[in-house]
Amino acid sequence: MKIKNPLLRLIFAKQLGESEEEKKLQIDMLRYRDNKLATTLGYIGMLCFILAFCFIYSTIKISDSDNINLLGITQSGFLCGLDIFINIIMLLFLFLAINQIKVYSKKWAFATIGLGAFQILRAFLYPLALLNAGILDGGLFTVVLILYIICGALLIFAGIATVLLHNTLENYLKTVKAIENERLAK
Amino acid sequence: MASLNLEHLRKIYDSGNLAVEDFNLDIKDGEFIVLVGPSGCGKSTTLRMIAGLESISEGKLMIGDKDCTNLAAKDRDIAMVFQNYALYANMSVYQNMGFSLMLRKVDPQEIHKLIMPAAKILGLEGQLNKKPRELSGGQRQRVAMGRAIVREPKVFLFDEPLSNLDAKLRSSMRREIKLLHHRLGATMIYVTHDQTEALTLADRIVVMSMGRVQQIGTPYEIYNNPANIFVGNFIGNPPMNFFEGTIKDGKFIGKGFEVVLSKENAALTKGHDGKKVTLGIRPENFTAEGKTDFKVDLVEHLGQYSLVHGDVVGNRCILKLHGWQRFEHGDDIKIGVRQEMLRFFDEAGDAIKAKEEK
Repeated sequence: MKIKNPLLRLIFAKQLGESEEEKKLQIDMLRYRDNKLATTLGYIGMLCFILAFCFIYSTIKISDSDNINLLGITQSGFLCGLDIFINIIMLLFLFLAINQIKVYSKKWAFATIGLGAFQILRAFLYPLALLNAGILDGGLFTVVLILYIICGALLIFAGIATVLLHNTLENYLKTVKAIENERLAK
Repeated sequence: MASLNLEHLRKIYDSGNLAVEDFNLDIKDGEFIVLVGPSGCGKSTTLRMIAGLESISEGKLMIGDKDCTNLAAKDRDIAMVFQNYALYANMSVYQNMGFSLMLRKVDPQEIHKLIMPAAKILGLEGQLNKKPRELSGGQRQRVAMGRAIVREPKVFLFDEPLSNLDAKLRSSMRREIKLLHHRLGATMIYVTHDQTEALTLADRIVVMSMGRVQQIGTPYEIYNNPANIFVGNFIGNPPMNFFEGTIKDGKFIGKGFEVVLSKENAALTKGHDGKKVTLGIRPENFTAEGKTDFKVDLVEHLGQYSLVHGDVVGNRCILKLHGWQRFEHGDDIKIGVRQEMLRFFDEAGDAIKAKEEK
């Protein structure tokens, strides 16, 4: 099987039997190509996040008198509002982060790792509160938990991949610049 | 690279409008052909027929040994550069250049290997991450050319690629296209209405008018030996001066003036004695010394030469004289002509040529 992704080719360069020249070419390609691997992972993570959100809020019940009884308002009303707010902010930042890691931004790669870690942590806050309140059943909680963990893991991996690629590219560009300077000096 | 053979190409639109009539041309491998003519003469239609963007009503188109008359554009292995660049605004220069290869599912590594040398040739190395909106007109046109180069097509087609650029940039891009042709050695067909582009770029020029080929020849032939009055008038800036008259006893008798012909010219026009003939003289083939009266109307100073507008006994005429000529409006001067550069056209407007030339 032929691996096309530059990161995977760099990681598995030895196993793929790639020469130094080919390795260099792969790095050179990074200069002009989007960070597709990280971006794809980011978007898949985002999708898991949205799914988890949908699963949690599928428990919203509308009473007969059309009054919205939001997730057992007496037990977790404040948390519910906070969760919705966090979801909106998370989605916004996640979208920004994905767009930045596309161009190998190291700063945003760390932010993505942070967002991923926070996402895993979140799984044990509001969903757990809902489980304890008896609003979420065990099965749904497990699904939501898995989705949050997948999302977090993907974001962390996307962030790490971006940091690695960024460093590789940075080192390569330094070498290129040094060679260029040397050539100009001559 | 490939040779092209266009045999009796004809294009009639559904509306009945005849755009191209009986177009015949053999293009050698690596040749630079320029189709030139006024607007609506059918040059772009011919190019689009070669590209496969217009169907061919009649005739045959061969690219290499392959009959491409009815072949789809994508299967002809031809790259076309358009006047409006046709770049994807949302893609970077690198992506624009590699997009066609990406669509063909070429390995990204191969694409990279093709893009980088092309970018180097075109001086786009530092611009590869930029979007088209961040580039100047000349750079955008180079990207469009780069996109064509990376495909390594058999034939390059250019449809007035420099028309959107300012005069200075056009001149530098013209040079770059010529250098590119030398470097790639590719077969190129270039459409323009600008005769300067035609004369400077072409190995051979095809002059067209009203859907018909008027003359095919090297820039030298086209400029110095126009096949008819149209070519003489269209090529050259300012155009050739024409004087109607008759040939009599080795003389050209115009309206109010006469030119004693050299032995060669007299022999050339011998068969047209007493017949109506048009004399064609390029503006630079006049001299400021001679016997013919010339009344100056206007002088345009262009630095290294001056364009002197006026008339020879009522016949409008433009002279192109070297240096800064200090004539004034209303001045009467005497002019002469270089006999070897006189051109004669018969009543039908076709050039009178020596028998062996025919």
